[in-house]
Parts: sequence; C-alpha cells; structure tokens
Amino acid sequence: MNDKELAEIVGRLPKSIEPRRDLWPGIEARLTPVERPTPRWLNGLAAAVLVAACTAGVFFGMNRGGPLNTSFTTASTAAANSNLVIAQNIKVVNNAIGRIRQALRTDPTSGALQDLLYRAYMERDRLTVQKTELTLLRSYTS
Amino acid sequence: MEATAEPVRDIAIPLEAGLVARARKGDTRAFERLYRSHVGRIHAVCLRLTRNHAQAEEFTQEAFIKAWMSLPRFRGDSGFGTWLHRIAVNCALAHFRSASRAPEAPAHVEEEVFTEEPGTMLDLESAIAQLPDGAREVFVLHDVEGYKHEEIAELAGIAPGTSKAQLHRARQLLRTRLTT
Repeated sequence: MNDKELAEIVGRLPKSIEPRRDLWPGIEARLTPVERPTPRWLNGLAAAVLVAACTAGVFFGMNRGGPLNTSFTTASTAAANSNLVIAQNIKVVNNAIGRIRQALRTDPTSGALQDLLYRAYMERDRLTVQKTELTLLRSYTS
Repeated sequence: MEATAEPVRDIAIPLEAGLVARARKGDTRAFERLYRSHVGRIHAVCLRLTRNHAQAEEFTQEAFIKAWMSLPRFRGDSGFGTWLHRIAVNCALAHFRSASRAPEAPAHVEEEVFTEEPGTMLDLESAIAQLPDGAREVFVLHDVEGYKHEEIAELAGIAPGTSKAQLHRARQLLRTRLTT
C-alpha cells in the first residue's frame, strides 16, 4: 500500500461518529447563564416606567388626603387633573409593555426584560387602581 | 446530487450564524441546535484521539461547555464548527499533556472502540487506534481532520518538524499494518 492508497481509504473514514448516548442533558445542566450588558433602550424603558410611577404617585399623593379637607369643587378639579395624569402614565406603561414583549420575542431568556415586564405590569395595575379610586372620588365630590 | 448539496450549505451557514448570535445572548435552545449539528464531528475527533468512549464523551461535553462560556469572545473569524473543533482538540490534547506529566495514571485504551465500521474501515480505525500517542495525534489531525502542520504544532505544543516526522512514522506504521 502506498501513500495515495492510504489517503484514499482515510478519505472514506466517517467524519462524524455519534456518541453512544445523548450528551446534551449533561451539557445543559452545566451551562451557566450568560451575563449580558443591559442595552440603552432597555434603560430608557425602565426609566419611562419609573417616571410614570413617580409622577402618578406625586399627583395622587397630593390630592388623595386633601379633598375632604377642602371644598368639593377643588377636590373634584384636583381629582380630574390627577386622573388625566394617571391615564397618560398608563399609556406610557402600556407602550413600554408592548416594546418589552416585542423584545422578549427575540430574546425570550432575558432576565432583565422579564423583570422589567413584571415591574411594568405591576405598575399598570397600581395606576389602574389609583384611576378607579380617583373616579370614585370625583363621583362623590361632584 | 451535487447540484442539490450546494444550496443546502448556502442556507445552513446563515442559519448557523443566527443560532450562534442567539446562543451568544444566552439562548440555550439555539445552543442545543448547534450541539445537534456538530456533536458527531466533535465526538469523532475526540474518540480517535482518546480511543476511549467514556473519555471521548467527557471531552465532547467539555468542549461544548467551554464553547458556551467563550461564545461572548467568538468573533466569527472562522466558522463556528472550526472554532468548536479546535476547542475539542485542545481539550483532548491538554488531557494528554497532563497525563504525560502523571505517568502513574495511564489512560485506559478500549480494545474495540470502532465496531460498527465494516471491512477496511474497521481495519483502518483499529490500526489508527494502535498507533503510538504522538503519531496517532498528528495522523488524526493532519490526514483525517485536515489540520496543517503549523496548526498541529501550535495545538500540541510541538515543533512543525516534529509533526511532519510523526506523520511520516504514522503513515509508515499504518501501511505496514494494513498490508500484513
């Protein structure tokens, strides 16, 4: 047998030999989560949720304790103003939720996105409760 | 058949690039698909280098885990498969280097590692498995896997001239064994 004949039979060797068992479960169990930097736009969304929460909180806090101690007209106007701010903030949070869900479709394992979505949903629930309370307050004072 | 093979490769490369990009972001499902595509090739080189099923499986797993950990540093200069292959070869050769420093614990060599290949292929696999370690490493990497002597020298920590000499020796031993 010469080098050429040897090369010919070596060339026919299988390039792929499957292992006797599936190695994936053992590999998967040892895969550590990959640390990824938070993208800037994600920080922007987080800030939007936070600002919506804070401004609504400020308006709601300013007016929540006060109406019963002031005239019904002032209380009613304040409640209407707060309601408008809260409604706008619910829109901001809803918009953020839409963008986070869209991002999760391309990066479904992102812990940062999942946390942010959870926080956004919680914030929307809180704002919705506030809006309902203010609507009730307006109905009492008008 | 040749005409249909080419477009499949053309599609496969961007698909793989997409899987690599997803895996880099931490998507384990994408990494599993990469594993399924490459495990046979990675296991084959590990098995031929180690001649031991358990070790080959261990190094295959290690290679994929190292690849996962190194993915953020994978720049895509070479294909993912080529990059992964080098990681696997490094795992196996690193083991040989550490084993050579601890001769009291020699690797267990299985007698019948390649039992599914018929006729000449089985003879060749057995003959390769019986080569001395250095000659087998160089032969598997050069003649079976297509590495260049310079690459083997870098991976195995030997001089390119040593790689050439080991290949010459391996071919000579194989020719003798396959003709007798």
